[in-house]
Amino acid sequence: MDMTQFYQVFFEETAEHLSGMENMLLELDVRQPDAEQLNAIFRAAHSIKGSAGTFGFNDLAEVTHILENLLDRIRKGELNLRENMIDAFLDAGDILKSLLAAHRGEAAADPGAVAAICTRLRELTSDESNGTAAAPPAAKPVSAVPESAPTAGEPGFEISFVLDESTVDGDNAVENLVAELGLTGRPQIVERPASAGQPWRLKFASATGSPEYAGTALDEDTLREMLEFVARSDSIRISPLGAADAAATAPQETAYGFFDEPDTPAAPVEAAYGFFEPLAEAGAAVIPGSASHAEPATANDGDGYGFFIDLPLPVESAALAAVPAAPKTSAEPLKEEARTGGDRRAMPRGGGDTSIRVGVEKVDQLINLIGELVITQAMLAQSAIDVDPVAFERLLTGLGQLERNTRDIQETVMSIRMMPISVVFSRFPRVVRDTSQKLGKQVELKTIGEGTELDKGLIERISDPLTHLIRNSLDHGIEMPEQRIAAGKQPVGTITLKAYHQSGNIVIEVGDDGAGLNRARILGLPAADTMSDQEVWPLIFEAGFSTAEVITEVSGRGVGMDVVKRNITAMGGRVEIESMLGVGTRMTVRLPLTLAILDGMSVAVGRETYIIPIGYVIESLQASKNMIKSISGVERLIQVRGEYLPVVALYEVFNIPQASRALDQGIMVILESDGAKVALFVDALIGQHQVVIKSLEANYRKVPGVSGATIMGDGHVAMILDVSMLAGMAKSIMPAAA
Amino acid sequence: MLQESTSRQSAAEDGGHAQEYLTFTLGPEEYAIDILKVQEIRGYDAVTTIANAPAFIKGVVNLRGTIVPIVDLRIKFGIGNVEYTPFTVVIILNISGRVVGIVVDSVSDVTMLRQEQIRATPEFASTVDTKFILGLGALEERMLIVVDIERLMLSSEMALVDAVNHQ
Repeated sequence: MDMTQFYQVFFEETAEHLSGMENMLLELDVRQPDAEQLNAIFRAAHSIKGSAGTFGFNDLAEVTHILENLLDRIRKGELNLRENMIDAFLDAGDILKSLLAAHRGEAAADPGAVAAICTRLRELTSDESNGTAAAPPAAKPVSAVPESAPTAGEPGFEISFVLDESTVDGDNAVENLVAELGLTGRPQIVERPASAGQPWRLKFASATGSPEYAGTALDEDTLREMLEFVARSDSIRISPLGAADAAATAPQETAYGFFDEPDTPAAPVEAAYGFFEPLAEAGAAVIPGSASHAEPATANDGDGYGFFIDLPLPVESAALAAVPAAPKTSAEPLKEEARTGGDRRAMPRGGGDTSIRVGVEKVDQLINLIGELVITQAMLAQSAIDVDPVAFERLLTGLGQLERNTRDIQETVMSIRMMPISVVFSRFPRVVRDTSQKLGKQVELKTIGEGTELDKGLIERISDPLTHLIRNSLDHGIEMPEQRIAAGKQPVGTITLKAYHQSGNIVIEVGDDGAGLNRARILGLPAADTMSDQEVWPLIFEAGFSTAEVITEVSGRGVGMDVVKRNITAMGGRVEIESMLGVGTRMTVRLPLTLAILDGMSVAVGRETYIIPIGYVIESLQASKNMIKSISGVERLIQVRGEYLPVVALYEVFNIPQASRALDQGIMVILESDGAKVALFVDALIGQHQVVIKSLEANYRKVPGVSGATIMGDGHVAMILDVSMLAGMAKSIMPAAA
Repeated sequence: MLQESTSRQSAAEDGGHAQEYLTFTLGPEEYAIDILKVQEIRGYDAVTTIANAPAFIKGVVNLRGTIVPIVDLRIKFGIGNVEYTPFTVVIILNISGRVVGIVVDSVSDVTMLRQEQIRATPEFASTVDTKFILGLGALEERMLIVVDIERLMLSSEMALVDAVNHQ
């Protein structure tokens, strides 16, 4: 079978897993790792390894295999999570990304770096000295603790089952099962089968019998569920341990019976693990009957404890009595978790995921067709204006309905391309972490409005400019901790990323509580001058501008902010700066909701209509004769408020007949692009529209001075002007004498 | 009609050596192009002119949301009366994913031509380079000029594609 057709899916999925893994790693609390998160990271690594192996990307599979081993040991509590492991994981993630990129045919990965990360991970994995203190007894496979073998008379079960044929690596699966059971009681393998198809026999002492496994009493149903993962369900036999002895321990049975409520999902695996984790953290083996362990747990829930106190105590020791209560109270918050955990396992992987992958071109095609539908609808509505509303009442009602439906369809289809901005935001915790470490600063990143949606095309293109703005804030905005303390601020600086919708635009703010922009330094002059802040701040977007005293690895070369500005303008957006010295800076990026739509001003030249992206337009005016200045007999400048601007006549550039030629007859649209202003001469202004950008190059070729085309309300095509190219033409095209 | 169906039948008999061609006229001449390259046929709409384009590129039209350039073959080949009436026909071609319209005088019919009906083109000088002519189809009295429309449309002299895209 040709696997290449599935590669794209693999690349996408793996990239998703990698970024998910990175986010979880960054969220992980090193001192108290959340078991569920560790498991999720492990699962991500495991999935990557699995599919990489399937597709024959052995280098990817190898790195993930080592990564997975280490994660597995941490997950099982055999190793303590340390900060340097997180670093190693993050670096391994980067290596995996580069390997993935190499397979995609992009830049080749550095084999040296791959080998280095493998060695580093292996060292961490084999670092035994670190592991000893951490290993919680509960996680050890119980077969290694023979002294606690279950005996008849304790509450528990005798279990026998036959492994399911689909269970891969059966011995291991049973070992894992036993290890899991070890969290809730004392299991023991009684009999190993000689061959596949023979039954396994286990003994299992339930938790209630011994205080050390407080609280995770397992009932028969749950046990059966656990077994069904590895065993054939019809082969599972569960019988109580030493049924005859049960009567002798009647008081205990009462308590046992209580915990055995069938609807109590006795928190298996993850939840139970989570419960034991803090105990392991305490650094001590769990001491049977120790009240000191039970008490903190019970203290959380006075009611539950009180309720248990009222029960006739089956055992004399008060310390022991606390133990059955402890599980109940602490199991309570875990219940939900256990249930969801169970659901997840019961469902086949991906079964709960109701999304489908569709090629972008299909969606674009749909959007095109809907656009056509809207035009047709508008045309119908136009022709229906003249009909008699009485005679054609039903037709008009139908048309009204068509209009509403069309609009709904259009909105829905446009929303398919929309993605939450969290896709972009999620990479910034890493940027902030790495950069602030490099700079020796303490920075906290806050993100607000991650659910805000914008076009997929914009998502891809906004990421670089935003990264740059954040690095800029980190480097120039946030001060060193000692400076912050001296200024009476918290040593930890805050960078706030905020996204929201505002009147058809998406607004993204990058704010910091750092030093703010320094007028004097930007101007290189004493601050006494007549320029307003609003005029001074944009200077930082000029090419070659830098206020950094030292050029660092992060920034200070004066390239970057101009690129940011240029990229955002190219997307049809704009950047605004607000800043106060000593308080902070806020950069606000405004973008249209989608790349496919542009705010445009339509102008007429001859019989043609052209669209100018509104972001470039400063003003438009009608030039009077005395504003028009000529040089060497050619009228090519106009004077606007003391400035001399070159005139670019569109009829000349595009060779349009029947256009007005006298510069004082038509309209001058003053445009600004890349810091240069030009006056574009057109016949008339028509209006302002939101237009859908269509590619001209799909079926034709690049036309100088035109960036694309759009379809106007009447179905005609109008060209969208490429303002930066037109501005450049002012320098090169020689206008003919009028 | 009867003749056409028999020719179809005979084509099927000799094992798919025949191909269907769309024939159209430019002035007195009849041309044939591979029908699989034709997407649809429509009337001539008002076009939006493209700045600084050659005269035979009339401009672009909106075809259900796609911007499609329109080439007037009458101007390109220098034949026929170049006038635009309600009966002027545009053949929309789909050539390796690119959609292009060509203006012709009229569309005649769909004809089946067997390989042996297509004669080699003698070398001669014309406004159209003979390398774009696959051959001359003989159909009784009619002479069909079989054009390699794909090669013609993607050629640099049509100026429809960027030079970098096509060498």
